[in-house]
Amino acid sequence: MSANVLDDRVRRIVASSFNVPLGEVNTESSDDSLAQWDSLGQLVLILELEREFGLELSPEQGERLRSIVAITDMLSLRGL
Amino acid sequence: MANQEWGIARALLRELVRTAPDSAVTNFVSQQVLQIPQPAPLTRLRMAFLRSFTLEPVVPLLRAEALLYGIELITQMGGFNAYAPELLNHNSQLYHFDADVVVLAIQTRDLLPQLWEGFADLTTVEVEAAELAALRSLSEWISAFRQHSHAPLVIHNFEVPAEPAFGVLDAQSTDGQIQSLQRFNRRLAALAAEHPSAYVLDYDGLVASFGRHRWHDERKWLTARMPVSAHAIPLLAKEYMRFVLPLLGRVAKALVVDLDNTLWGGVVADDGIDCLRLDAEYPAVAHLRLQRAILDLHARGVILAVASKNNPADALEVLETHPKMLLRPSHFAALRINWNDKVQSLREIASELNIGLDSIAFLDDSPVERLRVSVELPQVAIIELPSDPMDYADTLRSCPVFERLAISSEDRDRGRHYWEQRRRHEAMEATSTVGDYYRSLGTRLDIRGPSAQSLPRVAQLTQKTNQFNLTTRRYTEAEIAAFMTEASVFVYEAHVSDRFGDSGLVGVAIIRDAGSVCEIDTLLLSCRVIERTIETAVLSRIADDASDRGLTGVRGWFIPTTKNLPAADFYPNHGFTLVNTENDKSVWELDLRKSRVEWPTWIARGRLA
Repeated sequence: MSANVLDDRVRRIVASSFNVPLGEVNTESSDDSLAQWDSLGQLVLILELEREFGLELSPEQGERLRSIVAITDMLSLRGL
Repeated sequence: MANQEWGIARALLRELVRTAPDSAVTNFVSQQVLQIPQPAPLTRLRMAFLRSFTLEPVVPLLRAEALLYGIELITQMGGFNAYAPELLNHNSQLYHFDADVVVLAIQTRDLLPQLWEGFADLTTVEVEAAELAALRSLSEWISAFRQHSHAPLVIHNFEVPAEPAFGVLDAQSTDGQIQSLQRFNRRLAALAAEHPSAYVLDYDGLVASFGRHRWHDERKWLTARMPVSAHAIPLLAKEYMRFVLPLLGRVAKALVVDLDNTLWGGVVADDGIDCLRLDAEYPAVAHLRLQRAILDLHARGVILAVASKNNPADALEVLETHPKMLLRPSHFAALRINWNDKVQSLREIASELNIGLDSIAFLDDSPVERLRVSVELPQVAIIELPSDPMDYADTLRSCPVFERLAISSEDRDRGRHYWEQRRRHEAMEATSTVGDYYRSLGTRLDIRGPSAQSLPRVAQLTQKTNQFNLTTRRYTEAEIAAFMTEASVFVYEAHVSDRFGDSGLVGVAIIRDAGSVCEIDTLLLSCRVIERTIETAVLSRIADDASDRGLTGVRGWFIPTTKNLPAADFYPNHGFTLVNTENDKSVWELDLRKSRVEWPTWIARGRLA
């Protein structure tokens, strides 16, 4: 999967998980830059990533996914 | 035009939700649906969740599903494990929210922690004590809820663990962990049945059908109080819809089915009856299973009809004679087997069955026909069949528009009544004169006084009959019983049967003697038997009985309503003369010294069960 396509999918999932417009999410977004990035949204985000990419994430792995970059890195490491 | 856009959009969005139920998709769907002009305003439903675990991720999916049925959900999540105070305190946020439906979702490990973990340490007596204590709590909560709210209450039942404490030994005793929890669920069902509008959601069954190990995500439970794995969440949303739709009355009364490649494999006009795929072997068994599922809906009170593009003779031959068919012509209340557009067939079926298009569900293997119906008739519930026929039966069985939260004996018999009605219509079309038609029905009429068993039905007929009802006076059971104690009042019941079946108690007359005339306070017939001269026979009996009592006349009223036009000309048609009108009410009389009412020759008098 090309990096751009992957970025787009991840941005879309992040936007819907935290209920923010897609335009407000960019490749630099993280829990620091997005005010809506809260713990319930984090749970929804992990559930969405698991469903969308057919993964299973441990609590430790899920907890580290606090930015778009962290998510795309994790996905690339898993060959996605 | 708006209707059509909504139809197309809904079909596409439904497909999207079915194939990719993630929250990005569902949020998108929700936004789109809210932007399309709707054929009818959205129905708002306030839904409150009382819970012992994280249910928030279910909500976006549930909201999108509901929007596809024109329902806008407004939800409230109760605090974690705060269900008891919420239910008991009349001032809680639950009661302020004023919910239309409330879900009580407690896990086994929260309500019955000893039975979930540590079961091995308990004696049988301790298990029973724990169950009874939990049951008492539930009973208190439900009773408190009923005092403060009339909203339906949907209670999750309690799951059993995937791995019981004693392993395979657990199943060797009726006191094992699994059987103890199953007994608790049976007690919960009995408790719910004691309370009006309390229903059980079979959470244990839902978990089991998906697979207990797959359903659970123990790590997320421990870190985020979310025990349900990502893949199982859409199933919980769908399960809630199976309650939401019947609670709102959004149910399909009738299922209209296609024939070729739906009820059987193959096309009868091309393949011929002998080469259709319909037997107990793979892959033909898929169609047999679908027929079994349709029969089960029929038993639930769903009316069946056929809309098929076919030569009528070919299709009827299969319906009547194919040895493997489970569905026969007698199961169908209406048949449209022709080369007409299915949209037209569906319109005709709705009108023949006298139900709205919004009460119809449509089952057809062709995505093209489904899309066309969904665009032209957005009110019709389309059953989106998957591509593999092996999945047809389960898709139909899980369709929420067929869910019922209660079933009456009337529901069970409904299909038969509609079929009998169709046979009568066909008989009328086949006979040349009206008299021949009446004679061909072989009608038998039993007119008699009420019994204790029939009183509720007599009262119900006065309350529900609108069309053939001369005065539309509504009476309770107690009022009817009081009439029966008065010497000058006569209550008649009309029981009807014919060669197509027994229609039961379908008419009521209430007569009061006043001086030298008898007055008809009430005369009504169920719409099942109107236009068959039953009313003439009943009037004949009333007049003859009055003569026998030495009276000289019969007096009756016609009080018009918006619905009783079919009864408007009843008195003038039977030789009565108009004696008075007050406002729109008219008074009619028949002089028994000069005339009588003839009993129709085609109706036999007889004693019916």
